Amino acid sequence: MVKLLTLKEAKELLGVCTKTIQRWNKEGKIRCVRTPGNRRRVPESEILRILGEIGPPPTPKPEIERVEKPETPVVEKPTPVPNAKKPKKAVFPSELPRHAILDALAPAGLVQRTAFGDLLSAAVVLKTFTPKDLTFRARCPEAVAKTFCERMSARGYLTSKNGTFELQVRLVR
Amino acid sequence: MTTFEEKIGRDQRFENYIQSWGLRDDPFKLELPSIEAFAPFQHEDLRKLKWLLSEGKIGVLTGALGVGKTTVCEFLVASLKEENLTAPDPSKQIISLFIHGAAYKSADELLRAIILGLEMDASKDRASLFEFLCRWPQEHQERLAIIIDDLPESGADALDVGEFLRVLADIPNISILLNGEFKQMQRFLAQVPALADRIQMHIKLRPMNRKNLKELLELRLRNAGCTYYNNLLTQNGFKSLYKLSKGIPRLTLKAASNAIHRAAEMDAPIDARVVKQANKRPFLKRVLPFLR
Repeated sequence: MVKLLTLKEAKELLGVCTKTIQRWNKEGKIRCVRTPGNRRRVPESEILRILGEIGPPPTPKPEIERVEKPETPVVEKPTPVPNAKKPKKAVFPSELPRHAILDALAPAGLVQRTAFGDLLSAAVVLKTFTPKDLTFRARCPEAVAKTFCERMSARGYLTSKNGTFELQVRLVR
Repeated sequence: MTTFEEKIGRDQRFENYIQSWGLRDDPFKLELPSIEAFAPFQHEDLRKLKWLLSEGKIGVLTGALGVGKTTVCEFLVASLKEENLTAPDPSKQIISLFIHGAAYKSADELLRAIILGLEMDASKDRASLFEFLCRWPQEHQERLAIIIDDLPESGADALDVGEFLRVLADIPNISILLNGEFKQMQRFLAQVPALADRIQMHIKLRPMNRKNLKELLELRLRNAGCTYYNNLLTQNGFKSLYKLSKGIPRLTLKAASNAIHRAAEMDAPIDARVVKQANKRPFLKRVLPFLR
């Protein structure tokens, strides 16, 4: 399923203002889809294309299709290639499903995997924490919490400052 | 100090009262404060249930409302998790999952909840997820203990869920503990005779007798740091609590918690008068107890 971003999210990623994205859309430089409430949503692929992270853009199609059926919330509308200058480089927030994060942590077995799962839930709630906070919340030995923090940091999912960790990854379903 | 405590202030009177009795906190909280909070008379049931979960069998835990079924299950899950982290041999580890059965309306949802509980990708199709569980004994040395709380309350199709559990129960190294109110569980199992036949253990938790309830309350007071608990909870105070709760632990703890707050207001020990004042019930509910 195509991930759709709001204009606010898109503008942060592209480093431009909302008006610019609306103008680009009118000029056909970026394709947007409309919700039943007639709001613009930008497909993630468009953002990636503009940021130059994926291959050639889709075939131009000037017409904008409006969504008529309520049961299909959004319909993608192909629009022409933007000739605009490449916007500033934006950093994508890391969004991963829970199981993918746990896979990346390479737990030794199912017991460690479920323990890491508990710690991940605690980390998502706390956002900024020390291994001790995680130990207290997830009710697991501190050694396991430390291993979790080390592995998460090694994969860039956590940043550390003065012994406090901050979560850098968002969980998606 | 929390923002609430800063703005509204703490209940200084209650805190002074419990401190004067050597208590650290409200000893009658409903949450299980620690593993030691189970009274010795409950140990036998816990041992049986743990054996069931470690042997890949299927069992049922029933009892009236408030007798502590869910508390027992939560305790089992927590203690198995703790043991796993200290047991290096995977064949001795038991992965325990606690599932709130009432929230799942079909076998498919239940299956996905189990897979999610194992921190696996549950977005695959049902067949592959089920295959994962079927291959459990071949692919994993650990045992899997699935504890399903209040399953009969879910309103799911009993045949659908029951058949799923039956198949699951036949897989070696997977044990299942179903927990629910006695009559509801009976009705549920009556609809799935194949599952009922496979049940190897049925434990029914009953309301506590006077001796056991006293043991439980004293244990709570001792664990919270009170040394002279006989002076804090007087004999007639206990009798009144027992009469009020009829031996059901949840009701007892609720009544005792109300009583200790009332006792703090009156700066008196917990006696019959305090218990009655703290747990006043409307006249109609008193004379017609089924209104409760």
